[in-house]
Amino acid sequence: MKLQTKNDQDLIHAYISGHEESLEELIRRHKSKIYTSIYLLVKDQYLAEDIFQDTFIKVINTLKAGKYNEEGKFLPWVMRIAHNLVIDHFRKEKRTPVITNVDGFDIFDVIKIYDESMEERMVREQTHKDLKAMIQLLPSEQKEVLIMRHYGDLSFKEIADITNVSINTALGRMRYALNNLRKMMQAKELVKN
Amino acid sequence: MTETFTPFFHCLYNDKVEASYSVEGLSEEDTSFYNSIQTGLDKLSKTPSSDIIENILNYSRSL
Repeated sequence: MKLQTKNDQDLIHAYISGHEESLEELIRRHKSKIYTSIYLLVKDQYLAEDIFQDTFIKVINTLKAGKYNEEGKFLPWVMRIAHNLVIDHFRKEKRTPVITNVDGFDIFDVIKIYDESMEERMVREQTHKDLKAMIQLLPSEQKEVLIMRHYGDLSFKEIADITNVSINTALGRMRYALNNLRKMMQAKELVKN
Repeated sequence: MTETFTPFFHCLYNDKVEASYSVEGLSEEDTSFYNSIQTGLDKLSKTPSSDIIENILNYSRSL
């Protein structure tokens, strides 16, 4: 059977049995979700790659030690490991992965007035940059839920488990995140007009 | 009813309509807004460098 047709559990079993290529398929399958989730939280490519690598080293060590809990799904488990490593990083750095001016970003960059003569492609590119910037402006717990829901493709139950909150809290944070993004987009449009 | 998003961001919305779906636990308005920004969110996706993947695979093979 081709690796691409196997589900995650089958790949894990094959990997534990010594088929190294199964790990490659698991990484290929989930790397973008996991890496993007890490990157949007830490906002640094090299740091995100370090954490991504450390995440999979923990995954490998756990699988090879026969300690993987079969009850859980693979992706939420890996996302939990990545999430914990991100938290560890910020604890060591004694700063939070949020909101304002961490990387020199300013709210006025989001709502600045655009030159109306800009070409559409430039507007679109800027718009995507703006969305990224707006996500970074969200409070950390809201950003975290949005990222895990969208990029990690996790359910609110899985997000709640990873972040140690109730499902209602995770859901509420998602609602606030969407509401805040909507307000930022409206504010930007008001300034533009 | 007031407009829930802005014309400036229409370029994020247009090509995602067919992929829209209900998100469990969210209101219709929130789900609609979430669906409307999915294309924009998707375009922020990134992948780690091939060197990092190779490092991980090499580590696994070394055990």
